[in-house]
Amino acid sequence: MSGSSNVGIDVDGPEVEDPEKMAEFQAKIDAGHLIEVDDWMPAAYRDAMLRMAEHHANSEIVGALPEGEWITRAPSLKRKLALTAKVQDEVGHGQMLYRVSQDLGKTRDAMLRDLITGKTKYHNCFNYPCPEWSDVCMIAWLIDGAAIMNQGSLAEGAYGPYVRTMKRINMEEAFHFKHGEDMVLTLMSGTAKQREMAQNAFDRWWGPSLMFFGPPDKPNAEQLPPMRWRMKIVKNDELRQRFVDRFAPAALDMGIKINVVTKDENGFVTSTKPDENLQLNEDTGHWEFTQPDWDEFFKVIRGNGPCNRQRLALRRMSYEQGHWVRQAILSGASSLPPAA
Amino acid sequence: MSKLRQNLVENDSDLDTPRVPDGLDYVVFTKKRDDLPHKFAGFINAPDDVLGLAYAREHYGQDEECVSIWLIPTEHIGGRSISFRADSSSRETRPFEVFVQANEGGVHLHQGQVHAASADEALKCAGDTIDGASAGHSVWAIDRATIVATEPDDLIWRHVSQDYRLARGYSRDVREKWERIRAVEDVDRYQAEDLKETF
Repeated sequence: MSGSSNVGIDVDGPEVEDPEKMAEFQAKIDAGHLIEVDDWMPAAYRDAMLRMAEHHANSEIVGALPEGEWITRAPSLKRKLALTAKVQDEVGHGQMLYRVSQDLGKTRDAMLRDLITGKTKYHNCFNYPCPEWSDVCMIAWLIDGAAIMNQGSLAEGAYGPYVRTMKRINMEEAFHFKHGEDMVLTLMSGTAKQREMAQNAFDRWWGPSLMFFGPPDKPNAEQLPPMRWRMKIVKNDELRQRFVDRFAPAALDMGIKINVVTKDENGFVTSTKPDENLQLNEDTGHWEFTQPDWDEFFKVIRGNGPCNRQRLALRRMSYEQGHWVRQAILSGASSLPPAA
Repeated sequence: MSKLRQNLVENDSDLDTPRVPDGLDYVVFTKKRDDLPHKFAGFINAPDDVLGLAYAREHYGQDEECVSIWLIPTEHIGGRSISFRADSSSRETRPFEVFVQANEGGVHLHQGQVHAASADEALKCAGDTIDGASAGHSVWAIDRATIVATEPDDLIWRHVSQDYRLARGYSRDVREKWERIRAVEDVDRYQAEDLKETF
């Protein structure tokens, strides 16, 4: 559910590209044309687009895991149905994005395996735990909401196959978000216990949502390859501001308090205090807010984060246990599952 | 939490499970109604044609009901086409389906059929006879025999209302809940921005 246009690009890599071809390539992008899979592209671009699509695909697959945990424990049949549909959508998005990566030169099987063995990564926010049902509600409202904004921006990019995939994904993301909004509104219009659950989950997910768009931009972001090649279209800080402008007043109107929190190494909140910076600036029309804890962000990226090993262990188990199915389909032989 | 999830072994060693080859890739076209053309819907990966159709019915017959699904192996599309060895001694023609993407960034629509002895000839013929083909941004001419299709009387339909998995299934509930909290004109303004800016 989440594209990261924050991949590093090694433009001065070992391949030196033909300057005339590079100029043509850049001109094509500058003129607003789309690059398609069979077009000439510099090696650095091909590599970066592949990693971006692969990272995004991984995020969709791993993003389904914390929600999968809650299908059997959802409070009503209606919520179970919706959550099952959401999980199904996410996996479908992963498939679509692996497709984009495949065309750029990596096999599906290699990508599935690299995710499991930790060689490739996924979006940071899915390393945080989901201890309560209300976390599912907040993720659908805040994180899917952030993803729609991010993906809407990425849909203005230059790489045709990825752009078309963003448009398609956002059609389904709309349902995830609307349903999330319904769940959070339900909690906040409910009992004191429901409102408390919602507040606690918001305290856990507001920070990761702000961090969703990536760290604060470098001052020369527009000159760097991701923006020059229209892999990233809008700066992280601008997207983040859009998000706050929409979600802060909505949360406050629902009765949610927006706090600055500290977390322990397991991702649980250890302290909260109101965000004193949070207010609407009448002159700019934007909401001011306290930046999330960027130290925590980089620590989680480096150390992989609270739930990383658990999530990957589940993916590994699923892949290993599914082997007999793949074998059976490919060999055409009938076979039995391994004894439980 | 299920016992299974609680007792997972965490490790990051290489996988013992043998690798498997990727399946086949197909481009999927769906026809929403009898009076509409087949339209590009996406891709599917599957071990063979039969499963490909089954997966495509499940994935693409999902939120978009349709009356026909076509799968085309991606090797026949675009720059990665296998060029059919045009047997120059034979003038036997066969049907080619023509798909046109009118503008950059758009999707391919099925525009008609031509008869030709090779894909190249079919493209040329399409340029002359099919609406929009010569001006189109991208044109594909695909040998009809390579297209995997659902049967004409196959029903690809949903047993139940799909509202539980669509945004429109929640719009009214959400609106009602907001109106208990915010003034109506604030709700209008908020919903006017709702997601539309992202599409």
